[in-house]
Amino acid sequence: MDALSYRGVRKNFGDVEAVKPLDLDIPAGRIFGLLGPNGAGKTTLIRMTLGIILPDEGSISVYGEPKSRKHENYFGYLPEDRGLYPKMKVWELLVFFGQLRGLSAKEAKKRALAGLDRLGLAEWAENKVEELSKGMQQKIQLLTALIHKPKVAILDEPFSGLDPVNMDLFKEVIKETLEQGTNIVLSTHQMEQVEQMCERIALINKGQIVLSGEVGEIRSRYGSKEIRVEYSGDAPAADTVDGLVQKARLNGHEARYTLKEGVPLRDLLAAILQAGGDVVRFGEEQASMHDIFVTVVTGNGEVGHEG
Amino acid sequence: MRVDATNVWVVARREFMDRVRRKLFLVTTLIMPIIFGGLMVLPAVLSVMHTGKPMQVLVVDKTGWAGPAMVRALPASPAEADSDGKSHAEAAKGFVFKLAPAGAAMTTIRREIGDGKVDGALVLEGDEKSGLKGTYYGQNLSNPQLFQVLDGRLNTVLLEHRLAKLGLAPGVAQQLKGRVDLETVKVEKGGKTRKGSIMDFIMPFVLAMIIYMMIIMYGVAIMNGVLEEKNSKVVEVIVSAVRPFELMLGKIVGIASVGLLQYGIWITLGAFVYFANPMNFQAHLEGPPIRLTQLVVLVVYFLLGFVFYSSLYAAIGACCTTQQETQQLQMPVTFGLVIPFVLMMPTIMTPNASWVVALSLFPITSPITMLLRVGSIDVPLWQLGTSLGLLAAGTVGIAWVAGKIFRVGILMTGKRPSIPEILRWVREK
Repeated sequence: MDALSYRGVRKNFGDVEAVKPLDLDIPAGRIFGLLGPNGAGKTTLIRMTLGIILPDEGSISVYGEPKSRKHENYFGYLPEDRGLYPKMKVWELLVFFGQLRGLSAKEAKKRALAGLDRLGLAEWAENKVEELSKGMQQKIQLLTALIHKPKVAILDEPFSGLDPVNMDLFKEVIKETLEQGTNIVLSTHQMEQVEQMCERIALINKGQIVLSGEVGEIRSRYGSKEIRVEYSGDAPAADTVDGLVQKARLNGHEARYTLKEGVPLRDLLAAILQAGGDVVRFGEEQASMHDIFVTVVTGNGEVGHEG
Repeated sequence: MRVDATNVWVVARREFMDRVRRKLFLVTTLIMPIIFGGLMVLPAVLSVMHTGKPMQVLVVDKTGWAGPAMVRALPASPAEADSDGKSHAEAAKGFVFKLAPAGAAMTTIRREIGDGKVDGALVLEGDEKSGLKGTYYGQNLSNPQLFQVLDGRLNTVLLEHRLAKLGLAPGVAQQLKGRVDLETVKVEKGGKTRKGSIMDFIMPFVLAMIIYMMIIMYGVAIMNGVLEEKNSKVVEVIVSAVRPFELMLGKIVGIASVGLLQYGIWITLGAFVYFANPMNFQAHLEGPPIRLTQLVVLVVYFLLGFVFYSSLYAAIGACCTTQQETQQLQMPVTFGLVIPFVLMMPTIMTPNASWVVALSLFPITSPITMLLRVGSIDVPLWQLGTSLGLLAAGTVGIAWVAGKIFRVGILMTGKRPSIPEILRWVREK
């Protein structure tokens, strides 16, 4: 079942084509990465999904039904530009957002306090929002998006500005939310987070989807067939693997080999070990999402490697 | 456009609580009556306190008979004591009249006035036939009390002189003069009458003032609130949960409630102070100073007029990113309020003139003009109905247009859109 599916969705602002006719399916029960450079049309797509603006053409379905007002509270949203009412008390603010999302005041308060507790802010409930640090405010903002246990939570750059401890906390909370039945759409420029958290992605550039699919599949598709080997000492001379590889690039403790067609991986390893290579790491190199992103967005056919 | 009442209610309640709890609300609610009360009481207090020495006025007599009479300490004449004899008699004490030495040159006297040695000079001319002519020379010609005193005294002097000519004793003049009382009786529909009071004069102003001040104060508050939400980016999350139109309505309802509460407090306070004076209380034993119909009309016009104007203000707030930018766009809106306000006096004096009727029907000006009319006369029902119908239709139309502008504008950042651009937003689906 697809949590969200878009068919021929298009949006123009004046003469600018913010989103060109676009088809996309976001399957339920996963963390979906919505990627793209600044100004690619991500925010427009998100706003159309949330019903903040209407598409010029095309349709959006939520769990197989055409999206309508009834799905309003299916969504939770953490926008990239964050904002809260600075003068409100923390718990009152959360109750306000909960009520806007259809919760009763009582239920909203219960969940607000539970959420604050989970994020380590229980003793701040009575404080005004403006008295909180930036990181704390970001936690509050995350709670406003999740308080009504939405079917789909759209989180735009949820990790920006977080310290490593809070980043891990956010990831935990996001995973817990997923386990409780909320689909997560994650929009971020932090490609490591995409590699760690997302199962599927769609990459948008200039208003259209230029790449989509399973993260693992994309990475191996874009990965070259290079084998990266690390040695504790120097790499054995290149001629020891002659006949097995097309190309060998040696660089101190590290070597990259491109296997000839049909040569199994273990033959290469055996040859290296036989030559006395002190291998500490051996594996097929996968392209990083970072490289794939850069390659696709800049229109560069070759996918580079780290290092 | 379907509107979810719960969303409007939740937004309105937040807006209401947020504002009522601010210190600013408490301060303005308490300070405003003090300022207004002070403005009303202060002039009376100041005029009672005789600060400084009395004014010195030289009397230059060219008639040969009027001068000595003028200088004699006269009791307050009825002309001096037109409404409240006591205070004018008090005021007369603030002036000392002195006869100029015979043959004193006018040039010398003028120099003395110029140098501030005397405050002024009164030159008396004329004969019995033509009457008495006084010319006042002075540095300060803007003291109305002085002229009231001069006028009264000159009249008395002439009168007594003529009576003396007829062989009557000077004291007779006082006996001849009597106090004139003018009483007003208000006639209402069906010939019902009640004694007029100061409230009949004040009420139209008060009604129009209330609505004018509220729209300006709270309309601008809505505009600034929208601007704030836009700049603090909180609006993005909110419009993901509620329709922009609901947000706009919620803000209007919430802030209007704050306004009603505040004015409710002020009006209650004002009524207490007014009725604390037993004279005022007596005057209204026959009927309250404001009739129920007036009150209903006030509330209905306030509500419609407020929604009308505050949707415009909300739309302006949505189009701008800074306070300065709002100034320009606010101008035409404020105009609609200021025009009927400026025309207040002629409106009250001729509440049935055709241009006044027209203004009281036209939705932009009707909230204020109609209230002025309702305060002064019984407005024909058809006019009230037409005016309300037009205002209601206009309000719905304006709210709809403003909602469209609001929806697009609230998510815009960067430079203010041009008027044609804004009009395009309205046409957009």
